[in-house]
Amino acid sequence: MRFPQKKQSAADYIRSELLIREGEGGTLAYFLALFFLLGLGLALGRGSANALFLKHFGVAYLPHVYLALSLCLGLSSLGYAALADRIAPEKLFAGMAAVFAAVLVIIWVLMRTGATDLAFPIYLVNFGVISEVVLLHATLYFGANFDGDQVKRLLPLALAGIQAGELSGGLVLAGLSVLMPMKDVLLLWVTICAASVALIIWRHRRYGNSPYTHPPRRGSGALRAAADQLVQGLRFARQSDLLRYSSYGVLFMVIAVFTLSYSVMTIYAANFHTETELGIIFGLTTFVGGAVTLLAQIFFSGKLLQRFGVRRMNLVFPLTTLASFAGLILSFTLPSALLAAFNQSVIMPAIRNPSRNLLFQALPDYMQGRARALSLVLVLPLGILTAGVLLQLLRLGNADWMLPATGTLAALAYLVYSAKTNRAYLGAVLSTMAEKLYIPREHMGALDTRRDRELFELLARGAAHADEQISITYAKVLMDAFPAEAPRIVLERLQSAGLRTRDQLIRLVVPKLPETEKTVLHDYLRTSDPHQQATILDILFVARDAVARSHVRVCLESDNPRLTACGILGVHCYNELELMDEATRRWNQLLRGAQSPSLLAGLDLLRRRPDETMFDAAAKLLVHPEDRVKRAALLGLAQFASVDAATLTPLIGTLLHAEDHTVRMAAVQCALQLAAGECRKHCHQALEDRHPRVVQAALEVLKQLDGKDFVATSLDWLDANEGSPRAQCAMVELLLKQPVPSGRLEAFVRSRLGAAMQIAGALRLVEKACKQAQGQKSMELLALALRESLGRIVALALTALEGLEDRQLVRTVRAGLASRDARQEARAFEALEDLGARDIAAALRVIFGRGGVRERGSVEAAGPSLGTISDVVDYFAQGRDAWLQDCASFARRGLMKGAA
Amino acid sequence: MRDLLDKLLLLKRTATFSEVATDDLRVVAQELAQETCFAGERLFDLGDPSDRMYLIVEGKVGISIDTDPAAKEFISTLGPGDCFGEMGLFDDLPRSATAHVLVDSQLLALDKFKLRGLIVSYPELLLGLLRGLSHRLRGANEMIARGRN
Repeated sequence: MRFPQKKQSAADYIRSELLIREGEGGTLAYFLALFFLLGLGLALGRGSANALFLKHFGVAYLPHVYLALSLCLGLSSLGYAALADRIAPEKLFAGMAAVFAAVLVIIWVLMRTGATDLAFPIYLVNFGVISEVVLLHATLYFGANFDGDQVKRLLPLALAGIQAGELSGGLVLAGLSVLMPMKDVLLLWVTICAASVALIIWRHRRYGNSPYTHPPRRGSGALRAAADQLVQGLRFARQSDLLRYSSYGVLFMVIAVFTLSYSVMTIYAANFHTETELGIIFGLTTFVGGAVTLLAQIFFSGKLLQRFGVRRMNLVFPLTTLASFAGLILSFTLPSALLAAFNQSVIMPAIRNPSRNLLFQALPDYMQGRARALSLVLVLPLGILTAGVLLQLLRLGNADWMLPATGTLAALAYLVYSAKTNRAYLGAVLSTMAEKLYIPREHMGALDTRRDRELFELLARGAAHADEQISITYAKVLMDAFPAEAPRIVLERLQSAGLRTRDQLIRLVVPKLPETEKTVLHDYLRTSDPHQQATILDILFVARDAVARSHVRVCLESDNPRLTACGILGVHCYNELELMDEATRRWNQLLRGAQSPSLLAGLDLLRRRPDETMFDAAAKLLVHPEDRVKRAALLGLAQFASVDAATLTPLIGTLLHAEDHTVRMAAVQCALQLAAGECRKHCHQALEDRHPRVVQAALEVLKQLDGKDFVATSLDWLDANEGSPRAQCAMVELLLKQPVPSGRLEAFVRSRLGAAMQIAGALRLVEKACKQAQGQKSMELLALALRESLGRIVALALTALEGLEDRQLVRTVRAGLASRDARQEARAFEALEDLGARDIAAALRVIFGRGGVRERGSVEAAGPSLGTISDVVDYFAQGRDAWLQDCASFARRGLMKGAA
Repeated sequence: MRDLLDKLLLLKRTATFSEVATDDLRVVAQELAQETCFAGERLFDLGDPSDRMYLIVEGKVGISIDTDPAAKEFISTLGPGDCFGEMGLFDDLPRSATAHVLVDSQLLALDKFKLRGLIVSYPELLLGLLRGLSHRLRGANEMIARGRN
């Protein structure tokens, strides 16, 4: 089925082309405007700062500027990191714009008065600091207003605002270079800063604070806290491959880019000599670069990222940087310089920056700020410092080939670390989700008990605890984890335990008790009540203990039903032929007794030693008023080799509907005695039971019934789609424990997702109808039921997907999709796409309402077309899901009433 | 059927039962008992044993925490769709407030022992209830965090 599509308006078309969803337009327009101003200012700043510096100082001093820039950037970034957590992102943006405007005014005054020539390098350093810090904060600010998936789609578009500003700025600069002194361009930049501040204030007064942001931190010691964050970032980098490799990548990228930039400046300085010429060339390159980048960001960046994924796109900039150096090696002339400048002004903002931002989204939320701080405060300044030192040394070395060769080496290292970053990316996405959603790692339960004495002592202390419930709980774990040493501890605890606890502890310890220690049980026999005596003797008789044999006759003659049953068991265990008739007589007495304890003792014995001569007596007890007797009879009969199926069939059919789930469970187990078809019918019915233990019992019986054909028959049942999603999910979980043909499982996943998409489409129609006819309860209920059904079918499809992909990964994705946290949901989709399950991810996007118009239209769903609300209601009223049927019928009545 | 579904929707709109699946909620709705009470009555007093939860279908109920049960200073006034006394379903502690019927009201009451019986038969019901309580706890935590900031 193809979902119905409305004829698109021009606005819809643009939104669809630009991947903008409903409700995102206003905020996006604001960011486009703000980023435009930002780009405009940066273009004017970059061109004027470079032109003024080259004119008044010359390219020879550029390495010194890099050294100064590294120091200033480190310090100002530390200051920024100190404030980033403490001030709301919008306030910090406005504050920074205001401070930069003030600094620019001071620099302009110094230039105009000619107080010092140092104003020119200061201006260039100042531009370097502003461009890094403000650009970083711009993406952080943007991220505080959208969730992860929105950021992935919309950030390239928003960054296009910066490009639009840059290209406009380039054009303005080229024009102004002819009309006015370059120094006065600073005042224009100041005006742009003021306009940005006004825009931010207007926006947040009207629409409130950024939604995806933590409340600002309070308290003193901001710088110290920033330094602590830096240290935490460094520590985290040791654990996180993604952060470590991406930091190395940034280090080498900075060295490569600054080397490239120096080469370009050297060529420009050799070709253009006046302030005006330099202004025009910087203005024009900025304009052309900005225009190309703008087009790329609007029409290609987002789509390329969606089409090729963040990991492939992350390799583009290292490769183009390598190509730029190759060009410079071949010809150190203006065309190569222009190509290198193109690489920096187009590829970097259009491809590299959005990719890097997305890579950072894979880190835990609390670590993203620290990772950015690490990059800005430490890695970036270190890279610039290294580039400055290297360039100074190369200048002294005076060998032309060394400059591009050094840059090429740095670019190669950048490429290598980008590839390593990509490999670490998926692991980081999953680990972040697992941490956020508390997904336990598999095999965590496998403790190394040989080494863990501390654990043993802890469990031993627990088993010896005065509280008997605590003692039993610890004793169970202790017996499992340390079977060799635990019996000694548990036997010690037996001495002071109450009768009931002693009984439980005996059952726990005796099966694992060494032969040499079993004599202790004889001591307990003397001090125990009949109930415990029965427990102990039962164990001893089954073990054919020679000493205990003398108790058989006494037990058989006892008035206590449990001891009597124990005596009957003893007769059979020791094969006491002369007591056999008496044992049979006593057993019949027990099964025909008036009291429940007697019946229960006889039936329990029947479960352990099935005897077909007792069938009639046991079958009669299936209609006993007490549930526990019915259950024991069912469990006893379930062990028979053959039964009278005609008698049992109607009784089991009735007991499958018993109120007590333990009776239903026993009825399912007993159903194995019936004809195969009858048994399968009862089991499929029991798979719909609301108690998980009944469902499990049904699955176990089906497994026994079908034997080696179990997988094939179960897949047939799943393909027929006869069970509810809950029942199917239970079946799939069991199937995944054995080898299943992946082709059939994959087809099943697709068919369930198809059904889910159909429900998602229907749900959209019902929700729309709810909005149009507010207060119509029937429609509201149908929407609720459809939403729940959708959730179950998606869970079913993802459970089946565990059999095709990495189980832990799919579980993490599943938890992410169920988290109701937009960021985790976005990470889940990211992980799914990286699995290679792009079509499954696309279907899930549509189901979760994250698909665009085109995506919705392109994904095919199974089933008939549900174009109207009447179609939806009619379809589900005739469906197989009983609850959806009820809700849809109710909604149909509501619709008819409304129409009438 | 209609009556049952109305009850079900009322339950679904309460914070406690909002996370229980509707098909599980159906069995809870079947256990809701209709009660009519009149203005001036008290449904329970502070310190009474907690034995049931109430859902208001029609009418108005005032909640007072004054130690004098007759006092009519209300900390909240509840109307149709609101529910009260739900914590008593789980914690067995005495009532922490007095409930005054302010106008003639139609209520639905859910007996805690009936709910517990249902939980044994329908374990997923309990998971839904826990999710609902967990959401309320998260909401309370967020309010506290906002208050601190």
